[in-house]
Amino acid sequence: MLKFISRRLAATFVVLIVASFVVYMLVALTSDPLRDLRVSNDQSAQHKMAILSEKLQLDVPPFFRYFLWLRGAAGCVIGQCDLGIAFSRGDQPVAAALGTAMASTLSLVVLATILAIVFGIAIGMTTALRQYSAYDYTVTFGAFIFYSLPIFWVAVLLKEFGAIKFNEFLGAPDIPLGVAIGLGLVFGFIAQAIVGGRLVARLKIAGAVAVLATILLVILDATQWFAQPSIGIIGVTLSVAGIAAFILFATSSMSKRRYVIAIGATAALVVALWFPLQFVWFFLNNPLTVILVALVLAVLGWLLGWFIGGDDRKDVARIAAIVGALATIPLLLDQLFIRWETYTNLSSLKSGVIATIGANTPTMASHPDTWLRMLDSAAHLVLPTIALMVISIAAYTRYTRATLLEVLNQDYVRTARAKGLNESTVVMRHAFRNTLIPIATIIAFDFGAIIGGAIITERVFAWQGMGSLFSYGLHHSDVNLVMGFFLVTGIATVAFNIVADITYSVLDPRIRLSEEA
Amino acid sequence: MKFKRILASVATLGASAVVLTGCALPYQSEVVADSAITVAWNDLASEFNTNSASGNNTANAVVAYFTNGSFSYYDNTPALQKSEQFGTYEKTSDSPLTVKYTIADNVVWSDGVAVDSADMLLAWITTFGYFKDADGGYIFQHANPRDDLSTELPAAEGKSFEFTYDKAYVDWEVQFGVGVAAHGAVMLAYPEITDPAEAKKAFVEAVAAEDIEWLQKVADVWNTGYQKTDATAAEAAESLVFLSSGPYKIEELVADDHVTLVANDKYTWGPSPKYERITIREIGDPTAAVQAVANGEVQIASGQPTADLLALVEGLTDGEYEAGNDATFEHVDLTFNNGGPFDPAAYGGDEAKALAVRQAFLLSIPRGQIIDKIIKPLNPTAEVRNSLLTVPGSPNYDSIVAANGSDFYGTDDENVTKAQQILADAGIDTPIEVKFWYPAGNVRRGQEFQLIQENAAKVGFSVVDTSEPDWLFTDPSQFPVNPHDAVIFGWQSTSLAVTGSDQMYGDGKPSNFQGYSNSVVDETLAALETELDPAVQGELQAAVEAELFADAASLPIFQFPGLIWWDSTAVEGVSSAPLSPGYFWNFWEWTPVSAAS
Repeated sequence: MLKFISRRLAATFVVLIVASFVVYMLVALTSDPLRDLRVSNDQSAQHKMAILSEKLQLDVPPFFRYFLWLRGAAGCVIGQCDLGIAFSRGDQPVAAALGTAMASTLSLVVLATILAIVFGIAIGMTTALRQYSAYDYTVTFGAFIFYSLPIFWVAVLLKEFGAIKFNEFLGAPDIPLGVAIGLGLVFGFIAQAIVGGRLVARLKIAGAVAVLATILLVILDATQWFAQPSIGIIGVTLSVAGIAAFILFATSSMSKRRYVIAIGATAALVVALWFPLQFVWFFLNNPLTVILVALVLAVLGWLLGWFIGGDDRKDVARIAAIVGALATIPLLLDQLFIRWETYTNLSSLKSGVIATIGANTPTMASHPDTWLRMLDSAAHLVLPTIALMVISIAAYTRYTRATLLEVLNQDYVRTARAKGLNESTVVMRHAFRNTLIPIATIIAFDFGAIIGGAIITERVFAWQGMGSLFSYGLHHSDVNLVMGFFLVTGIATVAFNIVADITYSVLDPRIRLSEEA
Repeated sequence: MKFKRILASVATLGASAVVLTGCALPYQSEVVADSAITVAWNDLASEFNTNSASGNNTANAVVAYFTNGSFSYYDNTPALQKSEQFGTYEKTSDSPLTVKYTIADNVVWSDGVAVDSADMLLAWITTFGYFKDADGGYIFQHANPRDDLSTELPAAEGKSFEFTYDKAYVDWEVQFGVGVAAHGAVMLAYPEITDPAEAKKAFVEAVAAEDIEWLQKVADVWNTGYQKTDATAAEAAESLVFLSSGPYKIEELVADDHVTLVANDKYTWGPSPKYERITIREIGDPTAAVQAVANGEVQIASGQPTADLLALVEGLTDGEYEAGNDATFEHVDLTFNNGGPFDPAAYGGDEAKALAVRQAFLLSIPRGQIIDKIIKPLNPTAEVRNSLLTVPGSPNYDSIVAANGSDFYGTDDENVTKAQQILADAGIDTPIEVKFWYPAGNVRRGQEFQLIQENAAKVGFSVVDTSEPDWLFTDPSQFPVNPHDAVIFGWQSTSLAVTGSDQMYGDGKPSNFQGYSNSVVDETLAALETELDPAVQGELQAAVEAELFADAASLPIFQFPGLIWWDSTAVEGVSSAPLSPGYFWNFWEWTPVSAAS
C-alpha cells in the first residue's frame, strides 16, 4: 500500500510539473498583458507598460520565466509560497486571492455536490428497481435533458422563476383551489410512479397522496403560511418522524421491534428537547453550535440505542445516533424560519427572500446573529445549488441505475432472495453496498473537479470563486493568477485520483493495490 | 420598501433649510438616516491611491470619486465643472504659466485634519516626478509622471498652493489635483509619528531639504501601501489608507464582492448626498445585473448593450433605463506604409493615386447602414461621429466638425457613386484587394465587417477578412509595420484633455499603428500642447482634423452605446455620463423614492 502510494505520488509530481509547464507556456504565449495598454490612447500608457514589463519580467522569454515562477512555487514545499502577484487585481498576492476564492467555491460546490449525490443515488436506485416502468423512462428522459442543458440558460430561468417570480408570490401568497388540486394530482402521479406495482395499489397511493398534498396546500394557504413561514414544534415533530421512518426503511429495520422502539425513542427525545434547545440556539449564537447539538443528539441517540438494542445493540445504537444527528436539520431550519420576518425587513429585496447574486447580502455579512446570517447564506445558496445539482444529479442517476441493475443480477443477490429475505433487505443490505463501490470512485473524482469551481455558474450568480478567478485571470492575461488556479486544481485532481484508487481497494477487498500478495 | 418612510423627512428638512437660510446656503446635510442603496459595477477597487502606476484604473477611480474631493469633475454633457466649495483654482500668470490652488477653509479629511498645501505638495512632487533615485528612476511611481512640465519646487504654506509650469500647457486644468493625504502617507511610513501636524511639517521640511532617504519610505507607502482588497469595518475606520476628503468614506471592503461607502460625517461642503450608505457590488454579467435589479438586490446597474440585454431591460416592470453614449468611438484606420493598396509605394510612389484609393475606400464604408442597423437599435439617438479628436457634446465638437472637412462624406449611396468616380478618374484598376482586420470573436465588429465588405464590393474593393483575436499588429516587437491594410477598433476617451492625440497621429508615436506621417499634423499638435486660449485650441484641433480628413487616414464611425438601468421605485435622479466614472457622476443627486411621489 505504502509502496503504491509513494509510486503514485512520484508519478503525480512529474505529471504536475509537466502540466504546469504546458499550461504556463500556453497562457504566456497566447496572452499579452500589455495589450490593453497598447491599444489605449491614454498618455500614460507607455510609462505604465514599462513599469508592468519590469514587474512581470516580460523581458525574460516565457520559457525561462516559467522557471522563475517554478522557483517561487517550489517554495510552497517548505512553507514559503511565492506564487507571484496578480497584477490585474492591484498586485494582490496570488496566494491570498486563491484563499478567498477557494473558501467561496467550497461553500458553494460542496453542498451542491453532497445533495446531488444523495438525490442522484436515491433517484438512480428507484429507477433501477422500477426498470422499464413509466417512471424509469420519465427519469431517463429528464436526466438526458438536464444533462444537455446549457447551465447559463438554466441559471437565467431559475432566477426568473425561482427568484423573481417566486419572491413575488411570497410577497402576496395566494394558491387558488384549482392550483392546489392540480399540484396534488402531480404529487400523486409521481408517488404512484415511484411505488409501482399493480394498478389498484398505484391508484390508491396516487389518490391518497393527491388528497393529502391538496389538503396540506389549502391549509398552508388559509393560514398564510407562505407569507410568514415557520416550522415550530409541529413541523419539527413531523420532520423528525419522517427522518426516523426514512432511516428505518433505508436500513430495512421497519419490522424489527427493538430498532423501531430505539429510533422512536430517539425521535421523541429530540422533540422533547425542542423547547430547552431554544435557549441553546439563543445563547450559543455560533455556527459551531450546530455541530455541538448534532453531536449531543447523536450521543443521546447512541445511548438510547445501546440500552434498548438488546442483542443488536451496536447496530441499533449506530442507527439511532444517525437519526439523532440528522434531527438537527429540522431544528436548525426552525431557527432560520423564526428569523424570516426580521430578515425580509432588513433585506432590500422587493419581497421574498431568494437572492440571485453573490454569497450574501453585503449589509448582513457582519450581522451579529449567526442564524440570520445563515438564513441569508441559505437564501443566496438556493439557486446556484439547484443549478449545479440539476446537472450532476442527472449523471449520478445514470451511474447508480446501471450499477444497481448489474449488482441485482448477480448470484449472491439471487441467493439472498432464495433464502427468503424481504426485498428491502436484499436491496438495502446486500445490493446497495456493492453498488456504492464504483459510485465512490466517481464521487472522489468529482470532488477533485469541484475545487476548480464552476466557471459559468459562478459568473452568472456573481459568485467570486475559483471559476471566476480563472476566467478573470485569462481575460486579463494574468499568467500568475491562472497558474495559481492551475496549481490548486491540478493538485486537487491528482490527489483525489489517488484517494479514488485507495477508496476502491478499501471498499472492495478483491482489489489489491500492492503487487506482493 | 423601507425608503418610503424617510422621504417626508428629507423634503421637510430640505425645505426648511432653504427657508431658514435664504440663498447663501451653508452646508446642510440632506443625508436620510438609515437610507441605503446597492449598485452594480463590473470591477471593484483594489487600490486607494489612484495616481500610482498600479492604482490608476477605472474601478479604483469609481471609489475615489466618492472619497476624494476634487477641484473639478466631468458632468454628463460632457463638460468640466468646477467644484468651488471644495477649492478654487486660477491662472495667475500666462507667461510663465502660473496657477494657484486654494482649498476652502472648512475642508478636512475624515479624521478631522485640514486638507491643505502639504497634501498638494505631495500631489505636486508625484505628478511632476520631482524626486528621482540614483538611476534616474522615479521614487514615486506615478502613472504618468510629467517632469517635463514643471520642475521648480513650490512652497507649501497654509491652504493655498501656487506653482509654475515650465511651458504653457493646454491641459493644466486637469493636470493637477489633491491625491492621498500627506499626513496619512507619512504616518503610515513612520508609525512613530502620531501627530498629523507634526507629520505634515516633517514632510514639508523633508521635501524642501530634498531628503530622499527620508522620503523613500513615504514613497514606498505611496507606491504600494494603498493596495487593499479587504477591510473590515473596524480596519476601515482605523486605517489611514482610507482617509477621505469626499462625501463618503469606506466602511467595509470585501475582495471581489462589494465595497460599502458610508456618508462622511466630516463632509460639510459641496452638494450633500442623500443616501447614508452606498454599496457597490461586483457583477460581471450584465444579464445577472438586470435580474438583480428586478429582484431588488441592486438598484442601479450598467452594461454594454446588446439587443438581448436591451430587451431584458425593457421588460423590467419597475425599472427605467437610459441609452446613451459611452466614451469609446469606433473608427477605421488605413495603413500607409505596408506596401498595400493605401501605400503610395504600391503605385511607384504616386501619392495622388494612393490618396484616391484611400478616399474611395473610406467612402465605401457604409456609416449610415452601420448606425441604422447596428447602433440605432441600442441607442435610438445615435448619430455618425464626425470628429477624430473630440467627443460629441463636448464644447468644441460642433465647430470642429464644421471645419474639418468631414462633409466630404455624404449618404452611403452618394459615397458609393463618388468613390467609383474617384477611382475612375485616377485610372485605377479594380478589384483592389484590402486586407481588413477586426478583433475576431467580437460579434458587433464582425457585423460591421460584413456591411463594409458588401458595400465596398460595389465600389470595386475586394475586402479580405484578416481578423485575429489577439491584436498582434499593436505589438511592435511582432509587427513593426501593420500587416493589415485597414483596421477597425475603438479609442477610448478618459477625459476631455486636449493633448494625447499625438500618440495616435504623430509620426512614429506608439499608438500610431497606421504608419501615418504628416509634418503639418505633428507641428499643429505640438502647437496645441502649449496653447492656452480655448478658442485657438478649437481652431488648431480643426486644423489637425482637416489634415487627417484630407489625407483620408482615418474615419470615425460612431460613439459606443452605453446603457444604464435602475429600479425607479427605489431611486430617482440617476443619469448616465460618457466619461469615467460613468453613471456615478452625480451620485449626490441619487434620492430615495417615496411612495407618494
